[in-house]
Amino acid sequence: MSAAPGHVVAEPAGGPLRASESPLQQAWRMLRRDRLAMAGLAVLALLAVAAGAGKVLTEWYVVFDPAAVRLPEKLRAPLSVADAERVAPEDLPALGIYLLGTDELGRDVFARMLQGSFVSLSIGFVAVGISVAIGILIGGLSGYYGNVKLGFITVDTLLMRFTDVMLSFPTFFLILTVVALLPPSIYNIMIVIGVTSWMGTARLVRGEFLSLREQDFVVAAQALGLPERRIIFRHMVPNAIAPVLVSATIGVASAILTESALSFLGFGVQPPDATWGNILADGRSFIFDAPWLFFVPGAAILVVVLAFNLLGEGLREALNPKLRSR
Amino acid sequence: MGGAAGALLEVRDLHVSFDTEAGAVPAVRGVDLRVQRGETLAVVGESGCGKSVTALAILRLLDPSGRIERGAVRFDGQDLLGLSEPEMRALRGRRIGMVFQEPMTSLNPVFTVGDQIGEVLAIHRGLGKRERRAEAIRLLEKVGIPAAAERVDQYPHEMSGGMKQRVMIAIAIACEPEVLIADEPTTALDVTVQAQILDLLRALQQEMRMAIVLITHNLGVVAQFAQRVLVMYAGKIVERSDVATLFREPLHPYTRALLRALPSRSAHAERLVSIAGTVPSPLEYPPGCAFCARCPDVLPRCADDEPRLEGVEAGHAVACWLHAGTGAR
Amino acid sequence: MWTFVIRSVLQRLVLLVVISILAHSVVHLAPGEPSQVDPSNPRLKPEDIARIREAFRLDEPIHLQYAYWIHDLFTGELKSFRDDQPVLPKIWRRFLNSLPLFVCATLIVWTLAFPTGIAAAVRRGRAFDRGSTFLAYAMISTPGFFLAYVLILWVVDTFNVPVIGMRTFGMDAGSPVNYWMDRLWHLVIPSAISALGGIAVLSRYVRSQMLEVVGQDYVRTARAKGVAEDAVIYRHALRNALLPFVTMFGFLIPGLIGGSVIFETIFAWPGLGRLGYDAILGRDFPVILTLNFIAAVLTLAGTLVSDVLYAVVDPRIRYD
Ligand SMILES: Nc1ncnc2c1ncn2[C@@H]1O[C@H](COP(=O)(O)OP(=O)(O)OP(=O)(O)O)[C@@H](O)[C@H]1O
Ligand SMILES: [Mg+2]
Repeated sequence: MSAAPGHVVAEPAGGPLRASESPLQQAWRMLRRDRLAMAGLAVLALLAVAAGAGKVLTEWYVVFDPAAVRLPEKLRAPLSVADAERVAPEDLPALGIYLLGTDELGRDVFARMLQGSFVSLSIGFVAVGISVAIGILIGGLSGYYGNVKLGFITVDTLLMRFTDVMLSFPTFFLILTVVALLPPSIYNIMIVIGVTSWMGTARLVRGEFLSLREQDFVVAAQALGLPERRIIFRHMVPNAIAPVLVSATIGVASAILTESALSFLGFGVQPPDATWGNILADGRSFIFDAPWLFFVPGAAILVVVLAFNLLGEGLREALNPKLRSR
Repeated sequence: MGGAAGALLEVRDLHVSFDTEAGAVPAVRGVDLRVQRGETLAVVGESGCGKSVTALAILRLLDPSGRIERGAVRFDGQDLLGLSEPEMRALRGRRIGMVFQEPMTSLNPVFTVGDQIGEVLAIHRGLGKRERRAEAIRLLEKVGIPAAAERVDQYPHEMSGGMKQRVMIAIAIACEPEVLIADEPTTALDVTVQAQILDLLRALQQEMRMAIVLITHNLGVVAQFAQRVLVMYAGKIVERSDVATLFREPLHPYTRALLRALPSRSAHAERLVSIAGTVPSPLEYPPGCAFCARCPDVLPRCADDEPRLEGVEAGHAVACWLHAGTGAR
Repeated sequence: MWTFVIRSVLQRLVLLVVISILAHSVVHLAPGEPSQVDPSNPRLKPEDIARIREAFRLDEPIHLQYAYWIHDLFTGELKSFRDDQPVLPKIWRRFLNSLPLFVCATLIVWTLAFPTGIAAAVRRGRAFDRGSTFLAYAMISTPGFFLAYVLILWVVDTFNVPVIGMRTFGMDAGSPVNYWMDRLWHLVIPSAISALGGIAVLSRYVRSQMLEVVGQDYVRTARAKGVAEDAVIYRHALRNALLPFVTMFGFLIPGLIGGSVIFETIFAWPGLGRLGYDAILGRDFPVILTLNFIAAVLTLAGTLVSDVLYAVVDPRIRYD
């Protein structure tokens, strides 16, 4: 191979580029045909809008005040009209209507859900961001530098054993332990979920790197003497990204679920910050008196997590070249 | 002989297409094929021309996405396409055996070869456990596997490719079928092993008097083995002939190209047939002759007008405008 | 084979030591100590705190604490911070409580997930497949406790049976039949509800595994032999599709501890998960650490068992 590096490069380099349609375009075409995944995408687009609006309208220009306590108006049903005589004018909900009712303190559930959409979504994304970053780093190192020896063991063995160690903890119990021991804060929850969920990604990336390392364009790039950083980040990471994207999409879904489970056990994001998880967890005490406190956040989580899962599954099919050729 | 009544297996105007993401793939577009008892018919053609699909369609083993759109398959007077699934099952493995292209993956990895041979014996010959084992050993010996009594308890992964293919053959002939469809039985094997497998098939054929449909892309194999040949291109038959005539006087430019690509000395040496240009994708077959883009003798009408398979002399037919009408002479 | 087993056991022992050190450090280095659980408690005077710290050796350097913990664990002297009870018998009792729930739920998961997944794969793309797929996604996407509450409401409403707790109080006095029926209800409903998520996940996995296998060449060979369709699916395809699930046996057991916190809380079931939860709340380090340790032991044992089982069921795998 070292004999004629130029020759090796000449052919494969042009290969993938000649295709009339880029792999991404192809995947997008596949994805568009998957109705469930597209429905998921639509829901998520709506959610993104809601989350943006949540941040803006509940914190910066307070149109919907999630924190306003109106004890006389507690546990009002959805769509009930606010009673202007019992509530201070500045505490009246927008439009004078409690769209989704009020909770046991008379707070506007719609405003809280709106605020919670941003918080819940950022917990999902930040946690997955952390987990993907760690996963790519560890998986990439062990896939690319796997053969490098560190004393008596290889990098690959070391990192994969470490991954095994992490997999050997009962994850939820571990999250629970750490979250319970740390001071309660939304950042700690994001970090802990991220730090305990990267193992799948690491294994995926390692597997991709191992097979990519043998492929023509990487061998060619190495033969050309391109710097390793460039080979890894320009050539290998983009090619390994498809399965990571799929598992990240599904990861956001499970992070949102984990947060709600933590809230249920009392270790989630603490009041007054609202997340869908803690609204739901608090709502369970009012399941008979004020079912909307329970069913609204429950249904919201269900729909959003379902959307992430369906989109992830659709992406998996669309990005899998093996399935595509069939 | 030669009359329609005499044909053991007869395929008429077979059209098969697959539903895919990219649209319907017309894999086979009007294939006619007739096999007499005891004879060997070879089907040759480049990769992707529809040979395997034709074979699978005969046994109704196409993937769920594949559909037989038109045509008839008759075997010993019965219309196979009209049979119920249980009736069809009673034929498969008993009266029509099949050997697949890929010996490495065609055996079930979790059963011993003895069990896999025995299954056929249980289904079609109703043999008990003991008898099955004895018969499996006998069959393994028959297909030339040494130490058959030990091999019978081995798993496929413990065997070489050639041995797996012998096991596949043992399964296919276990019920002494009248027709054996061998789909490139040697393509995946080494050259020396190929010759052994072909010799084995020939010996078995003589012993059992079965008809063989031998699918291959190697004309060298055809010359040694078959009496009659069908040349396929892009889902159609472009030339039909007996072997001697075909080698003496190939008519279709594609057949000629195939023959030129044949290594002249050693007929065993299997080489990838290389003809200039590539086979068109089934999604974009031209309206005219599918070979026209690669044809050295292309005529103006070839691109738009499709030639039909026409007899030029007894037992020799070709689908090519160069020879159209010569039969009427 | 034996060399493989021995080597794996040794490897896992090393892993276990690493895990235990890691777990110990995480728990001890995190802020919050048993003595601070309830700082407002007026009865807890500084000298009491000092006494507690002394008793539990919290003032020793961390590596010594680790040594003490391991020593006490293996001599059985390890005591809970909260009630001074020995930890191991305590865990054992809770384990016996968790076991029936776990076994029952697992049985439900496996007996329902496999037929569903196989049926969906065989009917790929048809109504049953799409329906069960969507249902599975819906179940995977629902917060477990939300689904559980909804279902409890429904069960209590329609069947009019109590389901919370391990038994109904006062039932001991009734006839044995009533008593056991009561116990059964209290077992089956929580198991079924906590099994739902598992059914959804596992049936998806079975389906994709089945689809993978049904497209293999040897399945076509079986058909070409004239094998009946049922035998093709259940004998040839399923046997191969099942192989990876053998490895899952190994991962079942650790679920006993980690997976049950939520459902044991919902159903007020005094099992291992609750024990862990209470220990975490009370900063009861010995219990937390020992539970983590046992979970790790079970996981590692489980992976070993699954490796060995894999070699037993898959003739292609030989360890030598
Ligand atoms: N399951 C399928 N789905 C879609 N298209 C298929 C399928 N099976 C075969 N085809 C298409 O049908 C055409 C004929 O395939 P076939 O397998 O019959 O070729 P072949 O002549 O046997 O080639 P080879 O020598 O490679 O075995 C090919 O273009 C192939 O892409
Ligand atoms: Mg073929």
